[in-house]
Amino acid sequence: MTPFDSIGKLLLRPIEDVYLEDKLSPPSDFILAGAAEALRVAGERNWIPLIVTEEKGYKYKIIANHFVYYAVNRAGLDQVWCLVIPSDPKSIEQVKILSGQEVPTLNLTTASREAIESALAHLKIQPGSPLSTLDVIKAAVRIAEADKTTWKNLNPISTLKCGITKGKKLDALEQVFYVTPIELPPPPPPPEKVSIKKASYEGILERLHYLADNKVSGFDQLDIAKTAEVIFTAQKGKWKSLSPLSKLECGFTTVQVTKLRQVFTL
Amino acid sequence: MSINWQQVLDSIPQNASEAVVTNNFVNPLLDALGFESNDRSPQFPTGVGAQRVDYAARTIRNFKESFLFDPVDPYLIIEVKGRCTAAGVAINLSERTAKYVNTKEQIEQYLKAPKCKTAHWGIITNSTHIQLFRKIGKIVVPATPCEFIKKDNIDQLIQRINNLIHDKPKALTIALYNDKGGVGKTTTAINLACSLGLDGKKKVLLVDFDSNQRDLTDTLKIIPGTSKLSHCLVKNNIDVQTVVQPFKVSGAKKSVYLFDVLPADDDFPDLGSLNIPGQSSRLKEVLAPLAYQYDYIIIDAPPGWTFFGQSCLFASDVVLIPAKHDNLASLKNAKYVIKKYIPSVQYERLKHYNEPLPVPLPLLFNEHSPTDASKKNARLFMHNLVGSDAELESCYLPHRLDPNSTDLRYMVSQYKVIAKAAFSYVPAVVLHKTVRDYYKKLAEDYFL
Repeated sequence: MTPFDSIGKLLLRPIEDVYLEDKLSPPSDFILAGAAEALRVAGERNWIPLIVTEEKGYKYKIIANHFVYYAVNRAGLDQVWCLVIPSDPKSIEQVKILSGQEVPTLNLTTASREAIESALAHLKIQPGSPLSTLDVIKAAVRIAEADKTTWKNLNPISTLKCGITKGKKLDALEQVFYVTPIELPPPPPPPEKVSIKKASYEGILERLHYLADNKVSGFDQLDIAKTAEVIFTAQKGKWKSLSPLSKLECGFTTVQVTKLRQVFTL
Repeated sequence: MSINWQQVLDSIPQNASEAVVTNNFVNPLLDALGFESNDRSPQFPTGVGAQRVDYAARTIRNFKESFLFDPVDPYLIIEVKGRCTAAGVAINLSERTAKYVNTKEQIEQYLKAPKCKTAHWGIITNSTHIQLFRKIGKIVVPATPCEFIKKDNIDQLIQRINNLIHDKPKALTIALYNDKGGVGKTTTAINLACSLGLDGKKKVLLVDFDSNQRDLTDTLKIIPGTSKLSHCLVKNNIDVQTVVQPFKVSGAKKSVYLFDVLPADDDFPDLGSLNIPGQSSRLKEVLAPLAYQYDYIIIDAPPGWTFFGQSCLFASDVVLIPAKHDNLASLKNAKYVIKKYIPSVQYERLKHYNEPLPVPLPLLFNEHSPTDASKKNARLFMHNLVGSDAELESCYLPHRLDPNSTDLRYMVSQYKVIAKAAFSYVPAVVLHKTVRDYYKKLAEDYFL
């Protein structure tokens, strides 16, 4: 806001310089007639201004209070009071939210449990909501605890067993939630393979850390130090392959054993 | 001519000498600006001693002439620097560096030199930075900021320079402004316009943008028509040409046209800024179509930092600050104008138009009865006011080297006849030869 632009200023502009871009349906004839009459009897000045952005050639695009535009037109006024806002997307979004045209949205990738709970509670109380029977607290906890960093859409929520299934319930979430998946950098090259029979404890620990740090096949869920200790202390003299890893007490899955072959040899 | 600027930049080493920059960058630049090899001449003598500017150019489109072999009347001159000195020290041409200030002064001097009188444009560059300057008469103003050249902006930078130098000639817009009133702004505006316009030398438009006094309009006895400047500011669809009125004076046999006027009108005091789109940037937009029709547009601004004063400065290329040497407030306020108001408007002009304008001109002293003692006092006061600020010094004390000087550089004596002229609705310049000579000298000193 400076003396050299219109931002933040209340301007009286000719109605022909103001235009509506969003195709919103006008209010009913009854409401419009009443609003036009109210304008006429109160001095033909619209005390609620149009919220506009200033466009090329000093034309003004309506962002909010469209109803006023219809009423001023119906009342046959030549000029309309407008409040000029910056034309950046964030300011426009703010105006649309503050004027009730748009519901605020929440980035699920980074949202806190409290924010998720609040958004779910909002959806639950909407008329005819498919989430009317949702246990909001339980669902919020499940969603908050899930690793959402790589979610590309909301579909994984249906696998969390939180009462939100695919279909109408999941679709309802899209009114308020969105995700911004975090692109993980490509994993660094794996450490050089070592013989599992000859590897030191630190050598085993280093390789398990590599698998855990890069979130390979659930290694990040394991107690790495303990697992390394189990592998290091296991009797491996008679092993003829790495398959016996699956029998160790650390409970490796078949997939994890396959991944271990990338960093260990016999 | 289409130039692959990415390749051009790749071909210039970081330690490029002036010769390499000239060959690898300036030659393609001249190609891109439409100057063929016969249209350019290196090491062009400016006519001041042995002084030479690195390149001069003018487009010639017939087979008999060649600027290369007969280099006279250049249109564009270029001062080239290397990226590095011979000793390997990097040359930084970014604004505010000593090297930039020095190079800027160089191109200004060259543009004003005798053999460069026809030059309208000057460029300084070392292929890392580039800036275009425009010359109108004696005045040289930056036409672009000093831009840092990158691969992702070079095409736009060259295109902009190309558009500017091949555009139709535009007026120099001068705002007469001082935060302090009563310093002779309106008198100067009228008589300067008259002096520039006498004998049809220059086409001048005088704009009265004084919200309260309308002195200029009243002094010239101009009655605004049905089309008004205030309407143009508020509405989009009014042609500003319809507001312009010619000012003529009656001679013995016929009336003589002097200049055009954009008069103030009754609606000015009510303008405030409520109904004006773009607020204080609006006047510039309104005047834009007129810039191609005049050599000079002179705007008479009211004192005070309001919508009106801000609009005048925003619309101008240069600001002429009238002051009185024995009026300390006018001298002090001029410092505010130079150090506070003009930079704030430059910031906005850069933001809106990418133009580092307006620039302040040296102060103009309107005086009634100066004595050597009073002028010495004024110089001492200004000396303290300026301190070590080079920009202020160039505006206040252009001849600072001589501390005993009583020279106030640009001074116009305000004879009583000037004030009396107001009652006859004829500028004093028209009525009195002495006054005419004073303002002629003023016009020549500053502008012609």
